[in-house]
Amino acid sequence: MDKHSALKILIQHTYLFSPEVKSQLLNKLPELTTEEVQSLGNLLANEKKTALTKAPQRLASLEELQSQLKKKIALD
Amino acid sequence: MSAESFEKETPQPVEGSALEQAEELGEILPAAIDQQTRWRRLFADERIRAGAAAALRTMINTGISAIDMFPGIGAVPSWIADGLKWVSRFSRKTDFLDLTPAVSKRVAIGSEALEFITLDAFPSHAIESTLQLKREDVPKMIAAIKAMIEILRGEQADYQQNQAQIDGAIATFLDESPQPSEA
Repeated sequence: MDKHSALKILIQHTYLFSPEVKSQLLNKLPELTTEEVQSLGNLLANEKKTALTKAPQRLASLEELQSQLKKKIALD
Repeated sequence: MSAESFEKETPQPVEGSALEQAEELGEILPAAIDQQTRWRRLFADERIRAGAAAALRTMINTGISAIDMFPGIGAVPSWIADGLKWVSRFSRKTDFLDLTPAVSKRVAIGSEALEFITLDAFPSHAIESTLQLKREDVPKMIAAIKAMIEILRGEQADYQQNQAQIDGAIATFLDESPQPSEA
């Protein structure tokens, strides 16, 4: 996969940017230099990988916290 | 101090250390920026903002209630909180000053009467804090957590639907074979 296409996919699927920012970035994609593509691509690829790896753990913590708070309300 | 002795006493930079530091920063900063951006995106959600405000208010109220357990000076933060409750009603801009918006002024001031009866030994702010927590803050925190779970599940679902594409794009930049997550 070439880097421009890979970056396009990462921008489309990132949860870091709002839809407006994503749209602006996608419009600017053809103007980006090789270094900019590499730099932004590295950032988004690392972020996506970390987010996906940590998601089950983060979800479990949030669900545990939610259940504790619900119990607190029920006890009161 | 002569120039020679100054040179001897001043620690000289180790060759390559600046470069190493820059490389280290280069590794740390993107991660820090990622986290900040992610939090900013989460805070764009109204429910998460309200939940965070409720959590902060809970911490402040817990602190005031703890201090209020000490007779005498300990009651001062509690009185200030009650005073702010009155001030906050003057304008919408000062709404945030009210640390117990779900509790009426009558209950807030009435609970202070218990302080007089018990010679300041009763932590009256605990009553308001508990009511605030139960009526408004815990439900807001639960709603915020629910919103965060929805966002995380949405991200996981998006990954599952486009796994091959996303793994390929990650591998293009990280120069490694696609590593499917546990999602």
